[in-house]
Amino acid sequence: MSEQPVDMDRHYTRAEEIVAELGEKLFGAARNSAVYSQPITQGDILVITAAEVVAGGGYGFAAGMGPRQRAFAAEGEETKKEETGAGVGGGGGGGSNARPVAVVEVGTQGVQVHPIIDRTKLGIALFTTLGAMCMAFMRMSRGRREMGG
Amino acid sequence: MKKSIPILQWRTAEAEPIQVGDRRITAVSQALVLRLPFGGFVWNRPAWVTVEQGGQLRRIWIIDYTRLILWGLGLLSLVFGLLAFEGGTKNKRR
Repeated sequence: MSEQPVDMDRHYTRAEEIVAELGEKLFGAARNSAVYSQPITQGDILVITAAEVVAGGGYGFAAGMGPRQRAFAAEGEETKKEETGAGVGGGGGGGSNARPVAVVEVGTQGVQVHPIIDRTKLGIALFTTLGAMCMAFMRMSRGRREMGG
Repeated sequence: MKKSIPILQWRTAEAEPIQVGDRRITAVSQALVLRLPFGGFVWNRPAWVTVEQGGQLRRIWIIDYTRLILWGLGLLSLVFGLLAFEGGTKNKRR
């Protein structure tokens, strides 16, 4: 049985194409249009939403060649070893997050920026901070009590 | 010759200006771009809106209050954490 040789150049080219494609998508988050929406007009008012965008990702690929010793021998013949073997692999991961920051309103009153406050995020952060403060107070008061006793 | 791309970039980008009546509005964003051989990171935020009216240029800043409060709470946690650590070590020494 004969095996097809691994075309490493083709695999490398494909991997490079994928990496370039991923990079293009990732760094596309740096565009101005990723932050500001298209203007929406309602009567005399024009509205543009503004959001903060965070994106990150990583990728990698590798290829290797090495001996894959396969012994074969016909009857009465000396054992021969075929040395072929190669592999290409890759992977990646990433994520992005967008959070509304403000609404820009252009109307008869002029241009106004209305901030958007993420109450859920702030609530979670506030509880975490309160927890940290309580723990700090407990640690300090326990120390004082130990000293007094 | 291949043009070299910097690893870390601080970009300011302007959107297409919008004409509303006699006002010309331009939305500006600022982005931090980190390019690595195996990936990257992008932080893009709205910065300000430029309003051009009657030959006058006005800049309206877009303040991210959520982030400011989060940083404040983070700093508060850090301060209390350090105080607790300091108090604990002082008590042990005594």
